[in-house]
Amino acid sequence: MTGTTGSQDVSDIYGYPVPDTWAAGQTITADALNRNIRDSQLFLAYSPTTIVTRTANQSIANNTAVNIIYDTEVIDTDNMFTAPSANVTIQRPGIYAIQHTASFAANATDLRATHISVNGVEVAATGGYASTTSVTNQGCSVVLALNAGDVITTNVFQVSGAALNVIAETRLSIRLISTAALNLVFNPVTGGSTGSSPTPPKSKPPTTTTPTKFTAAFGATYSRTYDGGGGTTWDDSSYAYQGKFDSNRGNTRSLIGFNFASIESTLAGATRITGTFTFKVAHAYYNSGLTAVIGSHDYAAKPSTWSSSHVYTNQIKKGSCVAGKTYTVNLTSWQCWAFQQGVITGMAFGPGPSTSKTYYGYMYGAASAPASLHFTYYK
Amino acid sequence: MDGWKYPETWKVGDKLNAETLNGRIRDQNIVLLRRPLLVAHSSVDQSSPINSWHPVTFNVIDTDDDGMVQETTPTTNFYAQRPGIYQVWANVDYRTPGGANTYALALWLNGNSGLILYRQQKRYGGFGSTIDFAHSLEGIVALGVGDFIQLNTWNGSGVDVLTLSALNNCPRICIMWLGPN
Repeated sequence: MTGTTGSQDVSDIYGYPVPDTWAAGQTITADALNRNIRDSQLFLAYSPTTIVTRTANQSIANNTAVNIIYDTEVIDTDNMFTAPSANVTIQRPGIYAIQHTASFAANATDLRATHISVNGVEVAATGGYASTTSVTNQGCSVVLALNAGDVITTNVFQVSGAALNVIAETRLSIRLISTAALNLVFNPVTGGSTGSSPTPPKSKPPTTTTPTKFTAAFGATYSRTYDGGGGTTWDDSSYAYQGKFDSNRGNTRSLIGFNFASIESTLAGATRITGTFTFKVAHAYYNSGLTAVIGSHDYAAKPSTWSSSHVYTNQIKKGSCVAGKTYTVNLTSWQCWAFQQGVITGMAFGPGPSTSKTYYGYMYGAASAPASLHFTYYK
Repeated sequence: MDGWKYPETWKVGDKLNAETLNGRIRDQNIVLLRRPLLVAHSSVDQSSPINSWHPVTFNVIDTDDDGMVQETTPTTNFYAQRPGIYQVWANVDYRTPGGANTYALALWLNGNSGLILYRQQKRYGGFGSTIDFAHSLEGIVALGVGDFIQLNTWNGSGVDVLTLSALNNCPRICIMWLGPN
């Protein structure tokens, strides 16, 4: 293979990759293979995607259309969003699938509605009477051709007679599903788009460097077990308990701590982060094993009590974990992002989703056979 | 189906042979051209009890490229076998609800009512003894391996057990893996 090793990261691709037409006699170089094949594959696999949610309540005035301010980013692969904001800004032209759901606090009076807008013009909407018994949820979706710079917003409307909160569960997701002509212009009258230039731009020239793959591992620095009531258990040993054995301790749960500052600095600026969590089972109630109920937490130091507001429980399950064996589960993409951002600082076991002894047992914490996190990333 | 393999960057000196072409081009194209899909529906009516969530059961698995059905049918849970972004579509028909009340269709993550990702819930129905209505929802979700999707209905009639009709291949759920983001 000849040529330089240039290639593009997905976020660096201008517009989107455009494969050259191969010519007879052309030398097949690493550059050509990267730009014409690899970059297209990466763009198709890692299409620009943004999911944002509203986690704190937002007050919506009566009889007034109000933009939802999103305060949480689940994923944003194309820098379309910075929290908190009402706007998701398209970074490259294309066909986008946009899906939205709004959740209103319980109030049975009259109508609710929610809309998706592009540059302030409504492109999708739904409405109806409020739930009589609980919260009201409404969703709508649309597929649109959009240009770079187009701004997506969602706005809600309610006539309960007074201000009413939009609550958690409210979310907006956007994904590019196909590339399109470059000069798309959103038409607010038709809701459609036109393109004056059918020829998209070439990909950027190859860079002179190739992203390098790294791996890093972090062992647990502490563990602590809590009773069902949240207090430190009488047996705060090196084991991390989960589940209920008897009523003395209730449905136990535990926290595993890591050097989260080191994780955050290691992953700073990294892309394509994947991770795993490895743990060894010390005891399971049944010989056939326990179902590990794995979550994460945001404590900066080992707490004396467990508070559910600091723990994201039951994010991953691993069944049939038998005593004496070591297991590895993949971290979710959110967990990888959250470790990078310092949003979470460690892992958690339990509590069991029920008091079934399928969930009862304990893992090694930070002492012998410590639990560990492993990350793979590119810089 | 095979998992997603991150395409290795071509470097000066790499050999262009069957192994590298298959490992860096064919394997990725296979997954991108035929993204793993699950389609399931129920061929039998089911009951949504009063004032409680009901996990919708599916007894017919039309397509399951990735082995997302891990439990015996009829099943309620569909487990992600690879991390990434998934598109979910779902539709349920509610048979002739007697009055205008609150009915819901919700997409739960990991069987947890605290992790509802998308939901349609409002006052609806009461159009007469012969008219059904339906809820549909769609959404993009990020899942890790082992996460599972569960569809739940809520019947707020207060008095009548509601029938979810086996009608037009509904209740129906489609889940497509879009990419490894």
